[in-house]
Amino acid sequence: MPIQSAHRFTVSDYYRMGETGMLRPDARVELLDGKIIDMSPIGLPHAAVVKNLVHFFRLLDRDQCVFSIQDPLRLDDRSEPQPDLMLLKPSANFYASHPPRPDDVFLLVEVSDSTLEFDREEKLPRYGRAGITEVWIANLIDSTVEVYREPHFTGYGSVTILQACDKASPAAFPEITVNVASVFKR
Amino acid sequence: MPIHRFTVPEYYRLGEIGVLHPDAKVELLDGQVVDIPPPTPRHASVVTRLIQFFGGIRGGRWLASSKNPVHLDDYSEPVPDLMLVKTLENFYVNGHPRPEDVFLLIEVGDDRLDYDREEKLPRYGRAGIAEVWIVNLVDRTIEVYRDPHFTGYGSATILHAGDKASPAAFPDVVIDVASLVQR
Repeated sequence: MPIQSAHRFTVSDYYRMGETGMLRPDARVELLDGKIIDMSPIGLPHAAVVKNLVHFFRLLDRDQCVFSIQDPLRLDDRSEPQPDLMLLKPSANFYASHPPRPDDVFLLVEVSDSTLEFDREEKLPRYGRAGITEVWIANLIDSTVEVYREPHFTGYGSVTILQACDKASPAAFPEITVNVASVFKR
Repeated sequence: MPIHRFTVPEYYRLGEIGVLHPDAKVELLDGQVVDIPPPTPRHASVVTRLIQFFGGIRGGRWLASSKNPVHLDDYSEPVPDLMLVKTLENFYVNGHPRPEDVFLLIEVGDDRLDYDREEKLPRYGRAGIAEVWIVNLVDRTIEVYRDPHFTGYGSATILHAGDKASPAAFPDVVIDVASLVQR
């Protein structure tokens, strides 16, 4: 299907579909560039990595950041993905009144197995274009962490691939070190 | 991209809930809502010629329907430029025509020729629409497709100005290709 012909929905269309029950509450969907994308069900290894990662950041308290796990991120009027994990700027009401936006994100993490190509080629460039300061892709296939920084219009200026012996640290919280080997330990 | 597919009933619901405007020029193809861009004057003039020609022939052998949906299956309701469909006393008030109702389907192609040929045509074939013409305004031909099967059409003939075109269902109905494709 030629993407340019497909009708693009706005975030308010998308919310309206949710409100009227058109998108089932348990439907795992995201809105990307006006297109509603089905997300595959989360496999157990994927879910385990997300749970594991959260613990590395546990020392950050609510004055430093807010944790978001698979909740929406409003990129723009036509894109609202649900990244696996985000460290967000502190918010007194925990983003109860409006969804987080790119400027609110310290770190965004996607855990990828079967979705690796999609995450790298569809989501990552859009995160970069939106100015999200740092993205990690926890690559379940290769057991690596890909660290993307320097967002710009076409993606990220810098990418570093971290292996089992390496440690990953978000630029916003250099005191936190994530042991790559431990992230993927089974 | 694993794009979410809407069924035909969901597509109509999008209209009911206000996500698709009642006058929206859209069609549903394989579960995806596709925008139909406004026609160029050239496109519109060819459609008007086709309506005059097929609408003007008396005898009640077909109904000429322009820019109305054809229901292919649970996920597809495209909107062709013109169809000749079986006469029905109630004019399909209870449901859009289905492939078996269609004698001839015509798409006029200029800006979206690739889309008509590569997205719509194979689906028309798979659904079993007996005959499709693509009036190709870019190359100034009429492409005639017959013998529908699972992957498209078994036979494709290109007609040029100077040739005559006739639907297989009505071989006595003859139109000059030049009248449609010449400027």
